[in-house]
Amino acid sequence: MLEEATGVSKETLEAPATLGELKAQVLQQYPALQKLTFTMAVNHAMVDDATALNEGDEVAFLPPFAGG
Amino acid sequence: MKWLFYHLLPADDYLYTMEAKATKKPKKVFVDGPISSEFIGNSIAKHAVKTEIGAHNIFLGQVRNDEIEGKEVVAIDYSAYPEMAEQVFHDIRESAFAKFDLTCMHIYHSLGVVKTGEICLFVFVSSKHRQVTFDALHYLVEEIKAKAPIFGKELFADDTHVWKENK
Repeated sequence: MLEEATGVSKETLEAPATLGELKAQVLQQYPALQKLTFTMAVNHAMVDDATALNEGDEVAFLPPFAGG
Repeated sequence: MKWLFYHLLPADDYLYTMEAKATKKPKKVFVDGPISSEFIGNSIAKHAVKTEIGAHNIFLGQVRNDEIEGKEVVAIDYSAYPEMAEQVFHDIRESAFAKFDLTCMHIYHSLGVVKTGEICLFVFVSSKHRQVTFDALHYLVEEIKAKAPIFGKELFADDTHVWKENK
């Protein structure tokens, strides 16, 4: 879903201080994402926007869950 | 031997420990394509040797022919964020074993295309008595739906699609 909107599946970025800042940066880069619902995970855990980012962290933008 | 074993350790504790240990290694959750009734039947049959079990409970998720904007869903193409899913399923499993007195627990979810009428989720819990299995099964299915990073592309007959969202 998000891949369809942005045309990318993986990208390496210079990390800002927090997840919220990264989100703002990515939304600016890919305006198509603004209309979509997504959540974010850092290193495979769901966290909030205030979470601090460190070098090497894996940040995932996840579409709505649809398991089951 | 049997007597000695029971004497050394209460049987219940032993079983719990065995199951708890078994959950430490990552268990395979994802199945390629639909989950067959043979697979489900075999899974039930394997429990015949666990004679301490008094109740099994099973949840099966089936792909539904939802109608969206006048078009009927014919299949769902499932994908996942596998590294995170493995961690999430591990955590759900551990929390269920901690909350409920289960003898065993099995979770399988499809990846790839599953047609309407086919099974995409199989959750199977067993315990000594029925109430635990009802409670645990409900807990597990809700946790999986809410927390597992699994995504579903609902496919229509005309090759278009929409993305599914759990309510």
